Amino acid sequence: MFTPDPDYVPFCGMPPLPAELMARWTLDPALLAGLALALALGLWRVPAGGGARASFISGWGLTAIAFVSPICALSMALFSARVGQHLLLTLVAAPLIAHALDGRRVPPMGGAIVFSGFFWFWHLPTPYQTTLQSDAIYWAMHLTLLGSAIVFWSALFGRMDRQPISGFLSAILVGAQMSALSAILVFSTGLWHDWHRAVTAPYGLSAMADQALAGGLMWVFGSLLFVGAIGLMVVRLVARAESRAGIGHATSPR
Amino acid sequence: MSATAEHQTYTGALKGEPNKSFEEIWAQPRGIRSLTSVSHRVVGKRFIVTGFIFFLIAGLLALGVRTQLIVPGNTFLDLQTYNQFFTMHGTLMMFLFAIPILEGFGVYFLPLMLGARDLIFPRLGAFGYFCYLFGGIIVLSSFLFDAAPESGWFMYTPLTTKEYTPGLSADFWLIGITFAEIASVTAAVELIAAILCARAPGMSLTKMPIFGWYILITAFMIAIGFPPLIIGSVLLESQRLLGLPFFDAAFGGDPLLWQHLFWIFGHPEVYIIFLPAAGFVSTMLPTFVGKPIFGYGFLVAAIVTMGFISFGLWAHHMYATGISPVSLSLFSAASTMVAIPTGIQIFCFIATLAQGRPRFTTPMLFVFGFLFIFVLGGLTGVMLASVPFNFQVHDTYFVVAHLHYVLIGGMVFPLFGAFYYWVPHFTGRMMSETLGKWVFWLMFIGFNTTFFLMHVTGLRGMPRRVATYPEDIGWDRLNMLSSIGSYILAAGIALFVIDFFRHLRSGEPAGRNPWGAGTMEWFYPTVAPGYNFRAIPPVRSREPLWDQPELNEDPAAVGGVLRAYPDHRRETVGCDPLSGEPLHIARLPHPTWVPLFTAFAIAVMFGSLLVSAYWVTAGAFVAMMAGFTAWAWEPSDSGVTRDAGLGYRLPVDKADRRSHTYIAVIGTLLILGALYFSLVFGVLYLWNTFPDFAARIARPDPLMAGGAIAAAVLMAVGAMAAKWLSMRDRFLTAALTGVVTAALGAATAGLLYLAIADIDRNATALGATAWAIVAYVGVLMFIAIWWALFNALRKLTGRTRPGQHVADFNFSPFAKGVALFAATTGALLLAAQGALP
Ligand code: HEM
Ligand SMILES: [Cu+2]
Repeated sequence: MFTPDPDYVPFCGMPPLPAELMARWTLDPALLAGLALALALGLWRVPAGGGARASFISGWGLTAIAFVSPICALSMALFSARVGQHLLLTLVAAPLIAHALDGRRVPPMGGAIVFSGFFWFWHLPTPYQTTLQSDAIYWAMHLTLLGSAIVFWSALFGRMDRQPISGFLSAILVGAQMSALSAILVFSTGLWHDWHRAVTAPYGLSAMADQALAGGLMWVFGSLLFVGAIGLMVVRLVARAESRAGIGHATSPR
Repeated sequence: MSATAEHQTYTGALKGEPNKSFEEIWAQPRGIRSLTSVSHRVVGKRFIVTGFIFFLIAGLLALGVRTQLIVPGNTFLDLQTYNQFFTMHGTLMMFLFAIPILEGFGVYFLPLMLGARDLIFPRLGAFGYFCYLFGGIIVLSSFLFDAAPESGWFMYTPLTTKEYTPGLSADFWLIGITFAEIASVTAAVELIAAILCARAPGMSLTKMPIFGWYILITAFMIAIGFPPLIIGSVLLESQRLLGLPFFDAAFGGDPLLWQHLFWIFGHPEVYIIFLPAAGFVSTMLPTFVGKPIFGYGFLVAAIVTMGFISFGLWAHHMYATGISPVSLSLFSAASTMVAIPTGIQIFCFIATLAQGRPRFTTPMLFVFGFLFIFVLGGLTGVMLASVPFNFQVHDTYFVVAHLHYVLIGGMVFPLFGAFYYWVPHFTGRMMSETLGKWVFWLMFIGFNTTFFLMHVTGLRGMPRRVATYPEDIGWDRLNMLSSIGSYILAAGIALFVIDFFRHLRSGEPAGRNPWGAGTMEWFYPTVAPGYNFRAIPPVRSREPLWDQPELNEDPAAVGGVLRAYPDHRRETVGCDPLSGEPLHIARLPHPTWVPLFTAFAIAVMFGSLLVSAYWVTAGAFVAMMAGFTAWAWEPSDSGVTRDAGLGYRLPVDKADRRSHTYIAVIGTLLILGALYFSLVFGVLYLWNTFPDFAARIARPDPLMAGGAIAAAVLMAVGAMAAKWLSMRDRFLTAALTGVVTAALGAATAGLLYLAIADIDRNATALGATAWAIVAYVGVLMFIAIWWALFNALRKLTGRTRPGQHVADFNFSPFAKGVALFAATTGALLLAAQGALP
């Protein structure tokens, strides 16, 4: 069993006060090295042209922002910031990166189930608590969450034009589980994560309000991002099919 | 005779009718036997006519309401009757009119538009119709027993619990509506499979008429959106009948759980009603503008995103239930989100209009009426999404006005346009353009008079659902005018009915393609023969009748697939869901009594539940199972190939992941999954909101729960093995594996039962919900066991011939799905065991 170390400082540091927040950049050498490595790997593997590279670089950029910028520190004070960070990573950065990858080998439903599993697991009280007690677990969380999100999105994009049905079912699963988790958070009567109990007040929020905000963000902002990605995907799919089939411009003979 | 010898003599159709011609095979049964009809043309019309009758009844109830409110202190209706009237009005309109009539249009027109001879599961369509009819009759019959529901169309708990609503009125609602909803979800599966799997050669998904997309997404939404309400109703009914405390706060239940389950259904419901109607609009517009719909790809994306968004917004019906202020403002922002896909659709419609010179026919007038009214309804919707405003007008006539602008503008006006547009297809005659314009203006003026003023009445504070009001507080004249408006609206509807009966005798004959439309339902001169297509022509365009000149020649002679009918069976072509390439020949059932019999057995089952005659319930249950078995027992035609014309040689009823039967199993699993998900949501919700009660329930037995997971996994493996063996024609071992699979299914259910046996289901809501989940998994297991044994029995009795694999092929995903639910339940019980103090 894991015993917490009382002197341990989480990866993103101790909860900041609002005044010091903007100075709290995370310039951890290991993090920067990891990001640089990921960028190099991506530039090497992702073919230039067709927008794939641009998409990868923007996804990578957002990932970097999510960790290096004060979002990281803020997420130590506010659970809602933490949720915002997760949404940014899994619903914006991940689809952008996935867009640049070839996901035709993974079944979308498998990707959806794995991603949903991680998504629930890491937001439950005990696992969440442990990410604040060890760097290794913290990174295990982010890598599994972001990784499974990338796998899910790339499987969805890669298989959609051949298996639209399982593609849609997997999207439905991901959307539904996210709404359910956020609804449960919003309507919760108790605090899930003790860590945030005493640190939200400087931001003008009670811990419960912060938690409700986190649920609301996941619900609203999450659906908006998710649905936006799905909508763009459909527009692109139809446009591709149209240009393939050379759909003409009919007019009534009358 | 050995299996191989029989295989050689097997001609491919055990139920063919060799001495009948093509026309005779497709002829509709007459007289009393017309009840055996399974044709989508008959079933679709029945849905539409029945739905319209419910509309008229619900409309009369609304007139009763308006008459009561015409002057202050009126005594036309007493308080209880008033409550019954508005409750039944809302219930009939939402559940028994709007959804079924729209589904009826889908059922009737989709095969015609997509190039199929019938819907792909004709018996399911007929069965769904009878369920709907009987469910509707159960709800309506409550008036006869003076037990009409009176708690409002959303049946809030605790008002609807036994304590506050003794008697049978709530039971009538819960049982009748659940029954009618079964019809809706079966129709949804059938529409999904029909749209994806039975289209003309070459009609890829992106060449499908936009109406197909509207109905496809709507069907998915029904499949996901109705289950939460079905679960809610079953839970509430078992609270009323058995005393399980799901919604009882004293036992850790939560009345708000009902609100959640209701609105997870109720919010998408609005879009389920709107989308098909928008599909009508986008079908009629191109015809009268003479140009294809603008922005097909954007429309498809808007429809899909609308489907997704609508499931995330239910909380905005619960502003007044004490949600924290932060979340409230987020929901408020979110509620305006749906304006984006709606706006895209409206802009595509307007852009289509701008492309040409629209012809101002009666259907077009209704389209304009729709645009005008619906946009206004959208505006008041945005107002209501603002929290302070919402608190102010909550439960006032402002809300009544808003919801009727959305529903009547978004659905009733397109529907009447669709009547005028498509009536020639039903009857072969045109309705009157002159009278049609009168109908439109009466409805339009009547509607706006009634409901526009209600905004003001609401702002002046008049609450909804009150049977009367005092004089001289500023409500008198507004109510008087609203009531007069409703009579004008009613006059318009009455004139429509008159015109309809008039046109049956003296309407002008419609001939072929009277409006000059581009979609395939106008391929034949009206009235098209019941088989829709003598041969199914290849389609290369979204507006085939505009782009493919050969389709405007003699329809009986146009070249296509399946002109020959060597087996003398009803059949249509099954296609690849994506490309529309022919995949196999789908054999279709001939007229049969089975759907009526089975639906009737279920009606008796529900009816006897209502009067607590449980022995009758048991008998009806046996009859129902017999009905389903007879349904499935019919000999299979698969395992042969046939020439289909145009150079295609196709297998009959192929066992394939792209075939309609497989897709239907997946669709069914989606519904079952949504039901399961609703229950799990209930457990998590209750646990999270009342943690102290969670501490009180006994721990589930981890050994049994673990065992259940193992048994479920083995069961899935068994089903896969049975499929593997059967695909290789090793029928004896496949049958034995099937029996083992069934036994493993039984073991899974038994172990789950043992895992929760110590939990007291009457002591806490959470415990009761845990029982509900296990009971639900038990029911699914029962079905899986039945199916496994059924497949085994057919093989053992020699009813399965070499090359016939569909049954085992389709059972495998079903068994895997059910095993997944069972294993998840086991895992939840294990997790609960760990988390409980
Ligand atoms: C045909 C003309 C219609 C008229 C004159 C009418 C009139 C009314 C009135 C006056 C009420 C309020 C009763 C009260 O709060 O005391 C009401 C409620 C309602 N109406 Fe209509 N209505 C019409 C059509 C429709 C349609 C087409 C739908 C749906 C498709 C619909 C759905 C509802 C619903 C859901 C309620 C709420 C019932 C409740 O409070 O439980 N109505 N209607
Ligand atoms: Cu809503």
